[in-house]
Amino acid sequence: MAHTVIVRSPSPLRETGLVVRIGFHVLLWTAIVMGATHRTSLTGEPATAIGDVGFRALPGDLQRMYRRCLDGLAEAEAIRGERGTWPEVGELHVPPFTPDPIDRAHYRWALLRDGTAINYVGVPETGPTLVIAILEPAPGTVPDPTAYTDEQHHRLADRTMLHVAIWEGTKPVPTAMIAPAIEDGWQRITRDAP
Amino acid sequence: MKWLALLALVVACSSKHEAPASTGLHVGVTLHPYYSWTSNVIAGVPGAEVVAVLPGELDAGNYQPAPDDIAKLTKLDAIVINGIGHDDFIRPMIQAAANPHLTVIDVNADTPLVKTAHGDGSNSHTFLSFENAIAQSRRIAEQLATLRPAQAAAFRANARAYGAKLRAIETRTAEQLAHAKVKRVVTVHDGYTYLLQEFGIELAGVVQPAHGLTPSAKELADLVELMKSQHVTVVLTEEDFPAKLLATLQEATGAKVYVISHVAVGTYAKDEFETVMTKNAATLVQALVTDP
Repeated sequence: MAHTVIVRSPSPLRETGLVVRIGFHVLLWTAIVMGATHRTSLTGEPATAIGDVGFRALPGDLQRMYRRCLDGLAEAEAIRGERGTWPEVGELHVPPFTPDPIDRAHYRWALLRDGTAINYVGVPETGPTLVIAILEPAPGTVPDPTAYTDEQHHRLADRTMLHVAIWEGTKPVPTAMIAPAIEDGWQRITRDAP
Repeated sequence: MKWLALLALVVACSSKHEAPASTGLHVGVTLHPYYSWTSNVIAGVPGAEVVAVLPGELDAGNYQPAPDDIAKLTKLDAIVINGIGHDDFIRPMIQAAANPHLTVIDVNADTPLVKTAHGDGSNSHTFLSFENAIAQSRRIAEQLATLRPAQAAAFRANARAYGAKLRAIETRTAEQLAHAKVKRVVTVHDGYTYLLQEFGIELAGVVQPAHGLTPSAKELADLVELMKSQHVTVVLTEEDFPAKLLATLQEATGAKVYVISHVAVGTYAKDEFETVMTKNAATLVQALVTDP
C-alpha cells in the first residue's frame, strides 16, 4: 500500500545547531588524534609517533639506562656478527649487563629467543621493564648490500641486516617478542633529531 | 661567506689539490677527544694517520678558519666532526677545500642527545662522556671499515679494546661515586650533562645562560638563591672560566669549586682523552665523596 512521506528541511535554528555539532565533533576528534600523535604541545619535546617516546622525554635515570642499552646492543651485535649466535647475558661484559653500582632500580637481565626474535629483557625492582628487541631475517635471506642502516636497521659485520628497537613498559615478558604491544602500554624509545 | 671564497682561492693557489694517497688513510679531526679516539681506532694499521685540523693550543670555540688548515682538508680521506654545534666552522671549510674523496664521519649521528640547560637545543658536549666516547669510537671504526674493508677487523678490534679501557675507568669511578655524599651540583655551563648522568649525579643549575655568555646580575642572583635553598655545595668549572665570577659564587654560597677539563686544548695525543678523563673522574670522587 502506497504512502506519502513529506520531507521538510529543518528550521534555520535546527540546521545551524546541526552544523555547530558537526563542527564540534570534527574539531574534537582532530584534536584527539593530533594530541596522540604529536606531543610537542604538551611536553615541549619533538613529535613522536603513536607508541614512541623520545629519548629527551625520559627521566634522567631512564635516559641513562637507554644509553647503556645501546652499548650492550652494540656489543651483542659484534659477537653475533663474529660467531653467528647471540651471546648469553653472562657473556656480555658491558653495560647494562654488568653490575651497576649507580643503578638504583637494580635491573636483572635475561635473554629470550623465539625463532628469529631475540630479546634482552631487563626487569627492575622498581620502574619500567626494558626490552632490547632484535629481529633476525628469515633463514636463507640473502643480505642486501644496498640496504639502508639507521636507528632501527643495523648491519652486522657478516652483512646480516637486523631490525632493532628498545622498548619500555610494565607488563611481564614471558616469551621473546618481535615488538611488544602498544595497547599494553609499551613504548619504543627513539632518539630525537638534533 | 666572502671570506670563504677568498680562503678557497688562497688554498687553490697554494696547494696542488693532490689526491689522497691510495695506500694510506689520512683521517682529520676537529676536536681533541676525536684525535685520541681515532688514534686508538687506527692503531697498528699501516699507512693510517690522524691529522689535527686545528692548532692544539686553540679551543675550537675561539677558532677562525685559516688557509693552511683548509689545505689540510684537501689531503684527507675522512674527517671526524662533532656536527651539532661544536665545530660549525668545519662544513664551510670542507666546502672550500672541495675534496671529492673526503668522507665526513659525523660522530653524533647515532648518539642520543640531551637538551641544553636553557632552551630546546641539542647539547653538543657529547665528547665529555665515557659512554659516548666508546660508542663514537665504534662509529669511527665502522665508517673507516667501509672506507678500507681490508682493515675492517683491525678497526673494530681496536675500537672494542679502547672501549674496554674506557669502561674500566668508568666502572672504577662509578663504584666510588655510588657512595657520593653530594648528589646535586652546579656547573658553569651545560657541558657536563652526559658525564654527570653516567654517574647518577643531578644537575641543579648552570651558571652561563648559554655557552660562552656571562650571566646577568639577576641570573647570578637567582643561581645563588637556588644553591642556598637547595644546599648545593659543589660547583664544577672548566679551566679558563672567569675567576671573578667563580669567586662571587663561592663567596655568596660557600660552595667549593672543582675543575673538570673539557679536553679542549693542549698537545694532541693518543692517550690524552683517557689521561684527562681519569683525572676528571678523580676530581669528581674528591668533590662528591672525599671532601664533603
